Amino acid sequence: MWDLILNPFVTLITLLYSMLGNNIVLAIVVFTILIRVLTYPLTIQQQRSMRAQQEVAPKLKKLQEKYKNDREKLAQEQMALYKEAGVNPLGGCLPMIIQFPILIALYQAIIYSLASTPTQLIGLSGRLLIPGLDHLIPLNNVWLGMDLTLPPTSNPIWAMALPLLVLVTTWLQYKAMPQPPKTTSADGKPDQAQAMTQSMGTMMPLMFGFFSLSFSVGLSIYFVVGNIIGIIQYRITPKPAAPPPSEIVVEESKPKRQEPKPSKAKVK
Amino acid sequence: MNIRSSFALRRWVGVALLLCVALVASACTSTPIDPTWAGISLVGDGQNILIAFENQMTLINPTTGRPVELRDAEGQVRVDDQGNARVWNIPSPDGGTKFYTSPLPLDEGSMLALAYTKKLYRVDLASGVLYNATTGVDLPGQVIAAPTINGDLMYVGFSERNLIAYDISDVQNNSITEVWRLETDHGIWASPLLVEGVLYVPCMNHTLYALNAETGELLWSADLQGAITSTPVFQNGRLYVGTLARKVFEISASDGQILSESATQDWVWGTPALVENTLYVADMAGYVYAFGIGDGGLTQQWSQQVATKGIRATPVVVGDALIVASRDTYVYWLNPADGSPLLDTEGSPIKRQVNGEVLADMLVINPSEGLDIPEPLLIVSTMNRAELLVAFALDTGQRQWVYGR
Repeated sequence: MWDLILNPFVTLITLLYSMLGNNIVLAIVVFTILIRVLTYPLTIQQQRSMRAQQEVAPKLKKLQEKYKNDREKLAQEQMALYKEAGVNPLGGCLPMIIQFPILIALYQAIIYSLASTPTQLIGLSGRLLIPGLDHLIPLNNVWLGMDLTLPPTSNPIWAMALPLLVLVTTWLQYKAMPQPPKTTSADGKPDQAQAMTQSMGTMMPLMFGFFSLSFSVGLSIYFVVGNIIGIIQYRITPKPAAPPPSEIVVEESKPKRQEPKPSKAKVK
Repeated sequence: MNIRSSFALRRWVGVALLLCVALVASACTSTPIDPTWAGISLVGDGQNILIAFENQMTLINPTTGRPVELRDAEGQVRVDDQGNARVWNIPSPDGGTKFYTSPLPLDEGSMLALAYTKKLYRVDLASGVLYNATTGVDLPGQVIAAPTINGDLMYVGFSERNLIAYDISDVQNNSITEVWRLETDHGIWASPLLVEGVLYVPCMNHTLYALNAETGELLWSADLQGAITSTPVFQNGRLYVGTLARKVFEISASDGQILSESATQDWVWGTPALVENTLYVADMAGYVYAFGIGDGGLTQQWSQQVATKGIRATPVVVGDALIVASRDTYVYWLNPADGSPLLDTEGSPIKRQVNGEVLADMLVINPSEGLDIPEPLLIVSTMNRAELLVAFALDTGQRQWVYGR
């Protein structure tokens, strides 16, 4: 089952390698761009969802202030607000989760393609779906004096720049992402989702930078390229104009028992 | 959905995201798998099995499947301080050394062991002790394939690139001297073949080299269209070798000319087995082929898909049995005439399962009254440490013993 995703990826990398002058780094770059373009609809959906949450943030804040002593009521009003605005609170996460199997297959495809030991190369057998690609094996996995199959610590000193680049570009990508609305919960503490996003924005660059010390150099190159493409994608995605705060009015919804029709929050 | 369940759901999604990040990280981090499979060989008249795998080399008694016990001059088993029998086992001298090629006989009493971790050691065959454990001799690269020794010259192919011919006449003093080298842009993963003063070197860069073994002079080279992962077979002035280009080649040993070739379903990784005038080849799709050889070139006699996964190990042909072992964890007994399964006395195909992928070449142990081996044995090595070696009765496929760590 997993091979249905993995084998086409391995084949594609090898095909790109042959089309791009047997340059594995160029193949990884183009492969990353292709995958990012193919998964762009998911990325767009994720960004739209986050931006939609941004748009309702001021209303959400007003609701939180208004019902800071009534959590049940606040919950009802928030859900009504989300429904009215057509916002799925989890809409930003689901596309990301869908992309994870693709990402993992992509990483493994790079690992298989860069096979440098007999057991690694054995794992590549049967994965190339185009027979003519066999004559390219093994791929040339040395670039700028670095063995792309080895971690930076087993490569020349300049390979240590890659974990740093992974860290910096991961952080820049996080900064380029639409940030979740700055809201507080009814008790005045920062919203959980917002706090989690902020902590992930700090932790993920550090984690990936640290892991890159043990990743193969080839994977680190993928991460850097992927992050740069991500930054560009976030920059070029059109940003809807946020309504001026002065125009936002939150009306209290009517309790369902008293009002047969569902309550609505209006934006004048 | 109320706000509490919304928050709870978000929390779980957050946890799921972090788990995904951890999964990605673990998927990306290189797993500590062995770079290659065990090197196994037979040592001496006793047909002891020497297995080099990971951080140990061990000599196994073919009768019992247990490590060989060390004995003193009176033939008594030597014991350690706790009264346990001492056995022939060489652990990594520094904890980090790894062995994947069997040591080669240097003289009657010693062997040379080349470590994957760029060291060369001299082994005392009687005691299983490294003479130069503390220092070893530094090598310029990792060694996957067993080297070839010819008098005072040892030819070592390195897994990254290059083959070097060393003068080992002074190896007793921890000294080896480079005589010549073949520079290649890819690694050498199979042992070179030495025939009548010519060294045939298979290389991952798709080239088969023929060199003057004394001087290193290049006699010819042949582009075989795919990486060469196995040692060629020589007969009557011709070489036979398979490649990852899904082909088997017949090559003139005198000038490197490709005389004939035949396509296979998948990569041919292992060395073919040549018996009389039939060449048995296995590929990484699980197919086995028989080719007739002669003046008419390679002539396919039959092919059969035997296994569900690839067959890397060289087929074994003994008497009326052709035996192949696969990554699908099975060992198959076939009829060499047509590739059909051999049947046991109950009419079932002789097909035995082991507890791991089989990648290493198999060994055959001949029967010996003196060694209490009544029937020939087939030794199979798997990638599973619990079944590093499994012995089967060659004729019936009955399992005899297992050695694991």
